[in-house]
Amino acid sequence: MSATAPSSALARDLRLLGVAFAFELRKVTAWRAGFVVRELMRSLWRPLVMIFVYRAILATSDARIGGFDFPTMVAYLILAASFEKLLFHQRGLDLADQIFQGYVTKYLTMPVRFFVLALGRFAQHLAVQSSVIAGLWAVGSLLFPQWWPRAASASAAVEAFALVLLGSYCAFLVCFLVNVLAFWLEVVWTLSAMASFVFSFAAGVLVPVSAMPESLAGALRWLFPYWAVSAPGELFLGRLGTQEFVRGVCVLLSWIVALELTREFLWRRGLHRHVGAGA
Amino acid sequence: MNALLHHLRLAREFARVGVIRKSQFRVEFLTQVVMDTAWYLVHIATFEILFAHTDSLAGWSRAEVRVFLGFLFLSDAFWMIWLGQCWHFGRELKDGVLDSLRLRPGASVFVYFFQRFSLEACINGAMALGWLLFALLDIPGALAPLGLLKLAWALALVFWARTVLSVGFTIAEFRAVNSDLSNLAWEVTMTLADRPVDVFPLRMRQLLTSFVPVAALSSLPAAFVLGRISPLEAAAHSLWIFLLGVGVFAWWRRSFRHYASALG
Repeated sequence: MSATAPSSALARDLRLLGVAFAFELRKVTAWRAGFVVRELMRSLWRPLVMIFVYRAILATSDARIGGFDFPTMVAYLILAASFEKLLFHQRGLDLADQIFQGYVTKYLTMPVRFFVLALGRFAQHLAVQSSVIAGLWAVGSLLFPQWWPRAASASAAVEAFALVLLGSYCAFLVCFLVNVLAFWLEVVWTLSAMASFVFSFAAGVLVPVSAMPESLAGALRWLFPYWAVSAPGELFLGRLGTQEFVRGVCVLLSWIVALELTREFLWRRGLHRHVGAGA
Repeated sequence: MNALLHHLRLAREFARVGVIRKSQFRVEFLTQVVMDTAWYLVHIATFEILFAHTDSLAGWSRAEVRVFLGFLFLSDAFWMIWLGQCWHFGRELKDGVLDSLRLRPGASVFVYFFQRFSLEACINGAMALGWLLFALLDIPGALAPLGLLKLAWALALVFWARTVLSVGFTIAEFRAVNSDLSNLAWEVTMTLADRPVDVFPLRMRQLLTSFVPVAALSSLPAAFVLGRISPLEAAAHSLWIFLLGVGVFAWWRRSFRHYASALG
């Protein structure tokens, strides 16, 4: 009896996840122009513009930045743009609005776990962005074969992808946490925006972490953004090995545990405080 | 002249309401100041790291890029102080809540875009100005009387270009409702404005200094103050961007005439 109860709860959560995923997918594709703008073009620009910056520094000489020559840097930036697209984005979750406007209450009275609905968004994000990236890579590798990144090996590609997925889940949990702060704060978009700036820098979207001063790079290697973008990029290109992959998995899993515990704690405390009318 | 005074009085009223609103939301005040500070630090750190690997970025030295960043920060601060409402335009257009704009006492472009005064962004504006002055200390003659005159001119160009782009990008929302096109345009624009325009190829530079004058947010004013372009060239750019702005505002007003409450 006690063994079947959790499994039936899990089955119910999985069914709900499937339904939430399907509805989120329908919603995101309902506005076609919005779909193109929000889903196809998001997160591409910063790394791509940096190609011009690095061209100005690297293309006319034998100079290297952190061991990157110009073609390797271009490959890295394409990877950074692709991986950043896979990371859950702050605009993907409107929980703070639901809390501010009080209509999160209706979900709380339903016999489902609210977090599963948010997980539906995460699953939809991964599905849509994976498809978009697959399309971009197909086109990019046909049009720019000399610049497009090639995996050092099949295992390097798999390891990189695994790190990005774990990193994306960390990013999703951070978004959820920032949104949950709406139980206490009048506004959270500034925190989301700030997290986004700091994340881009710490993830090495603009400058590879290995090109940063060693003391700074050493500190960033303890944070999940590095293992979500910069390290997978270097793994893919064969600049890092399996030992670093294992370390990355350990760091990311530690972050997931810490963020999950914080999420549980803040969600419970927030619900105690919630009166159905915002912060 | 009367119209100008009238709109200045409106601006003062928006500022007064903005100050009152922010006295109610102290955490919002603090987080916005911290957010912009983080944005400044990320930019400074990025360029300082790049200059640890090179002496020149498309002909810009480290000291010159610091001036460039000063203009970028001030341009952003002006945007945050006065033009924050533009972020909400797409949503408000879709929700059909712009009806009252037709009744308000002033030019619709001014009343809509300047309605959300941000006191906290003034703190960031002061920090940005501090950074710019710090950067200009390394530039001979930049703080002499003639240099200060050029600085005032450059700042006027930055603020005008910001307003023109803010208004111009929202026109796309009239054509594609709920598309987020204006926000995407800003994302792309800010990404392009974040780097000295000389890093881009010629055709792109021409585009960014003419029809989409992103360079006027940071690169052009910095180049003028640093003496990288002549006053005559700066005057030509200023005149063009002024005329472009007049055209953009007229186009926005014309688009707004087709606004119906139930676009969503």
